[in-house]
Amino acid sequence: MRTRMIIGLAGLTLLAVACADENASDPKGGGADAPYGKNCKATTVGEPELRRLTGPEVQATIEDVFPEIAAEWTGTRMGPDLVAGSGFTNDAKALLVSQQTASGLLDTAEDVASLVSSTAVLATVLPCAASAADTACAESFIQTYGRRLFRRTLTETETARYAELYAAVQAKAGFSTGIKWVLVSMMQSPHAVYRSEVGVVDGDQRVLSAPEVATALAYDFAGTTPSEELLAQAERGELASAESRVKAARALLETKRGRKNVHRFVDEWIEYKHIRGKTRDGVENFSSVSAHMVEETEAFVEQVLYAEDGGIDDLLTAPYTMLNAELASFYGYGKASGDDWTKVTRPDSWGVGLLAQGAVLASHSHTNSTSPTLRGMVVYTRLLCQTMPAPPADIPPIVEPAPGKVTTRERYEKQHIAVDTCRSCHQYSDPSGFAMEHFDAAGRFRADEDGLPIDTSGSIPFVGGAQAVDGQADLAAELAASEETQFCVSSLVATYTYGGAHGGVANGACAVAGPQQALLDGKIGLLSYWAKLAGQPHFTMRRLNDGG
Amino acid sequence: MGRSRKTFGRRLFLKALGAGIGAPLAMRMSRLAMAETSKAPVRLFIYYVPHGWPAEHLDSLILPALADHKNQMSVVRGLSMNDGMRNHPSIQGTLTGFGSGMSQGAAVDSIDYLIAQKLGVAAHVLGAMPRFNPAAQDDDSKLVQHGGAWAFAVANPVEAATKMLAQTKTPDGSGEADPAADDRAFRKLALGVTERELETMHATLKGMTSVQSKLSVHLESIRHLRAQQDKTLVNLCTGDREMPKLAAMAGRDPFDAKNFGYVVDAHLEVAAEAMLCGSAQVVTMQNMYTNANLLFNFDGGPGIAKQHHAVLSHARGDAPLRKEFAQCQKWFLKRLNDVMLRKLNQPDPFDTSSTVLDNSIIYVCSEVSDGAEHNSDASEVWIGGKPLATSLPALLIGGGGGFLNKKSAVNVVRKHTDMLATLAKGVGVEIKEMGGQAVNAIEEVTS
Repeated sequence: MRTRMIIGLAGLTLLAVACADENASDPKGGGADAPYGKNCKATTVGEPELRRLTGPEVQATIEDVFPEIAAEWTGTRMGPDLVAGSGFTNDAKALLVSQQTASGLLDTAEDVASLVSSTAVLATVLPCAASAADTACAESFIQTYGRRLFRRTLTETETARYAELYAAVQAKAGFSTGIKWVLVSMMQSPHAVYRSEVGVVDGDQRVLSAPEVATALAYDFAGTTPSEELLAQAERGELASAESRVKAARALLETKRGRKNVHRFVDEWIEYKHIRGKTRDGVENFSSVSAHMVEETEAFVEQVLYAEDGGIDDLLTAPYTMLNAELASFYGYGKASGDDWTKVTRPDSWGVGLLAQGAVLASHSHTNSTSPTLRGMVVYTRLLCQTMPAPPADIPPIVEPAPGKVTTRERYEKQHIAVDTCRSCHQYSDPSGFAMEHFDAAGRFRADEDGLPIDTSGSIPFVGGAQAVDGQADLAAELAASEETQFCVSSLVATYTYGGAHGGVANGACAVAGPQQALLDGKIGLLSYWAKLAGQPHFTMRRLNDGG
Repeated sequence: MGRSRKTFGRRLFLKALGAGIGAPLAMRMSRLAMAETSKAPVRLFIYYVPHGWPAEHLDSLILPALADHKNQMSVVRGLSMNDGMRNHPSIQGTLTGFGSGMSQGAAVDSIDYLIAQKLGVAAHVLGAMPRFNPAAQDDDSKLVQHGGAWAFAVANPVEAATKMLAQTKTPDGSGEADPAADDRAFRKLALGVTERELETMHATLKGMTSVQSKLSVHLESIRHLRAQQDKTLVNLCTGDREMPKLAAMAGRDPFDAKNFGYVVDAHLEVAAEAMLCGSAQVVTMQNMYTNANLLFNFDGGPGIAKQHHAVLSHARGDAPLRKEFAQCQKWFLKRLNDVMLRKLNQPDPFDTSSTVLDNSIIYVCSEVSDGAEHNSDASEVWIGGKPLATSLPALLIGGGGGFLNKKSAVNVVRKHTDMLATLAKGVGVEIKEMGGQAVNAIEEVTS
C-alpha cells in the first residue's frame, strides 16, 4: 500500500564530503532547506536547452525515418555517450558535438545517404526520381525528409539553402548524388542533431513550440523521432493540454521503442548489464547464463511495470521473478520450459524484487566473491540518491577470499568497518550489502558460504538514521516503504526523462512535486508517474535564459 | 640543438619511390590522414598504462621488457602531476593541464590534440577498453580532450585500421582506390552549410551562454572536419600488408575481457603500421582506465587471475602482490616492445638512412606514481615498511628525429606538463602554456 507523503527530507540533497576526514561534515547532515515536496511554493521550470541526440536516439531516428535501408545499414558510427554525474548517458549538459562525434555523425550520414540515394531505395523514398528527376523533385525530398529530420517544417530559407547545395552537386555529379549530399547535410545539421527545448519568449518565460513539444514527447518517452501523426497532432494544437500530453506519453511508453527506453533507464539506473563479458569462478559458461539473466530482469520489469502497473515498491518487493528453463536450472527453483519466460514465485527467504535479480546481484560482485560494498553502493547512490566521495588515496586491497575459513562479511568487516578511517564511508554502503549475502557472486541463493553460516543483519543509511534490517527481503521491504527511496527513484526517472534540464535530483524537485506526491499516495504506478512528467509546466516552458 | 629536421615533400616521395615502396600509389589521397602540411616526419605515440608502477621492481622486472631497445630510451624520474592532483581523477590531467581546482567540463585540450592541430594532422586515440558499458564513457576513463570535449578511444582495432590506414583497394577489392576528390569537394560543401547553420543558431540564441558554449564546441568540430578535406593522405605502404595481430581480432569482441591481449596487440600493430606508412603522425593509446578491475589471466596475458586495480595496484605491504602488479605492468611494455617497437625498427620510407623508431617519440605514461599510494608526484612513499622513491612513470623511446638524447636515466624535478611540452617540441610544435600555466621543454632529455 502506498499511502505516504513527501515531507521535507532534510538530508536528501546530494552531498560529497571526504568521509575519511574526521573533521569533514557528516554526509547525513546537510541540506536543511531542501525545496521539494510540500516545501515547494510553486512548480518550477528549467533552463532553455539544446539536447544533443544520444547514439541510441540517432540510431532509432534513422531506423524510423528510413526503414527502407534496414537490411543494409550497419548502424550509427557515433562513439560512446558521456556518462554524466547523474549516471545517465543522456544528460543535456554533458552531450556535446566533439570532433569525434561530428566525425561519427558525418560517417553515419554518408552511410545512410549512400544507401538512400541508391537507385533501388530512391525509387521508393522519392518516386519522382524515376520519372522526373529534376529540381522540383529534389525540393520535394528536401521538404519531406527535412521535416522528418528537423521535426518541423523547413523555412523557405532553409529549403532554398539545401536546394542550392543540391544544385551545386547535381551540376557536377547528377541527381542522385545531389540528393545524397543534401541528405548528408540535413542529417548533420544542428536542427537535426539537437532537440530544441528553447521555445519562444512569452512574457517572462519561454514557451516551447508545438514541434518542440512533439519532439520532447517522442524522445523522452520512446527514444525516437516523432511520427508524422504526432507532429501533426501537436501542430493542430491537440497536445496543448497537460492531459493530452500525458495520454500521448503513456501511449508512447507502451510502444516497443517506449519499452526499450524504459529498459535503458533501468539499466543505467541500477546497472544490471555489468555482467556482460564477465566470468564467475566455478560457473561454467557464465556468459550464456548472464545473457539470460539480463533478459530475466527485462521480463521482470515488464511484468511489474507493464502487466501489473506497479510502483517503485512493487519493483522492490515483488515476490516473483521470470524464469526460463536454463535459469530455473541455474537458480535451482521454479518450473519453466525452453526459452519462454514464466512468472515464478520465489521460495520463501530466497529474496524479493529487483535487488534479488541475478543480473543485479552478479553485476555488483567480483569474479571470485560477492561485494557488500558494491551492492551497498547501489542502495546508497541509486535508491537513496546519496553521493559517496571519491576514495582516499591510500586504500589497501580487500584481502583475497578464503573459502570455508572466513566469510565475505568477516573480511569486509575487518577491513572496512573495524578501521575508523574506512568505516567513515563504508558504514553507508557495506551494511546494506551484508543483507544480500545469501546471494553469491553469480546471483544465486546460497544457504551458507562454503559451509560457514551467513549473517545477513545489516542496516539502511536513511537520512534520519540507520534502519536495522535482516536479510534481503527485509532490506527491500524497508526501502520500498521509505519515502526517501520513492523520492530518489522518481527523481531519477525525471532526471533521465528531462535529461537533467529541470535541475536534476538536487535542484529539480519542485518541477515534479505533483506527480511524485501522486506516486507516493499510491494513486498511480511508476509508468503513470513517468507519463505525468509530460504534463508538468517544465515540459512546455522554460526560464528566459540559462545559467551560463 | 642537434635535431635534424626533415622536410616532408616531393623529394622524399621520390626517395621512397626509389626505394621501391609504394611506387604506384605514393601520391594516393584520402581524407583520413594529412601529411602534406607536415614539416617533420617525427611520429608521436603516447602509451598510457594505468595506475602507476611499483618502483622497487622497475629496473629489475619491468624495464627488462624493453631490453631490445634499451639503447633507444630514457627513463625519466622526477615528474609530478600539475598542482598535486591525486587519485583517479588525475587520469584527466595526465595529458592535459587539467588541475584539481578545475571544474568538470573545463576546456583543457590534451597535448596530442594541441600538437595535431598545430601540425594540421589528425590526433588518433586507440583504446584497449574492457569496459562494463561500451556505450558510455565515465570520469575514470577520460584521458584526452579534443576541441573542448573529452574524446573517446576507438576500441575496435578494425575500426582503427579503417580510420588510420589508407584505403588501398576499392570496396570490392578489385583495384586502386578512387582519389575521391569529388567526394571531398561535396563533403566540404555540405559541411559549409552546417557551419553557416551553426553560426546563425549561435547568434540567435543570445543570453543563453551555456547553449552558446555548446554550439561553439560544435562549430569548432565542424570547422576542423571541413579543414581536413583540404588535407591529403600519404601512405607509402602498398600491396598486401601482413597484419597478423589485426587479423587475429576477426570475430572477437573488443570489449570482452578475455580478448584484452588481442586488442592491445592489434592496436599496437595498427598504430605502428600507420606510423611506418606515414598515414598517422600523432597517436595515443589508452590501456584500460584507472580503476579497471580486469583479471590478468586473459589469453596471452601474464596469467595472473587477480584484479589489476583493486587487488594488484593497491597492494602496499604485500610484496608478492606488488611483484605480480609489476608483472602486469611489464606485460604492457613487453607488448609495446614486441609488436610496435620491432615494427618501427626498420627503414623509414621517408628517409631510409634511419629507422622509423629513430624518427619517432614513444612516450609511456600513467596517471599516478604508485598505485597503492595514489600519489601523482615525485615523493617518497611508505611501502612494505620502507620508504620508496616514486614519481610519475615516464619513458621516452626512440630518437625523435635526433631530438632525444636517449640517455638511459634522466633525473629531473619538473611538472609533467613540461614533459608534454617536450613531446610537442620534439615534433616541431612549441607549446608555451597548458591549463593556464607556463610550460617549458625538459632539456635534460634532448640532444
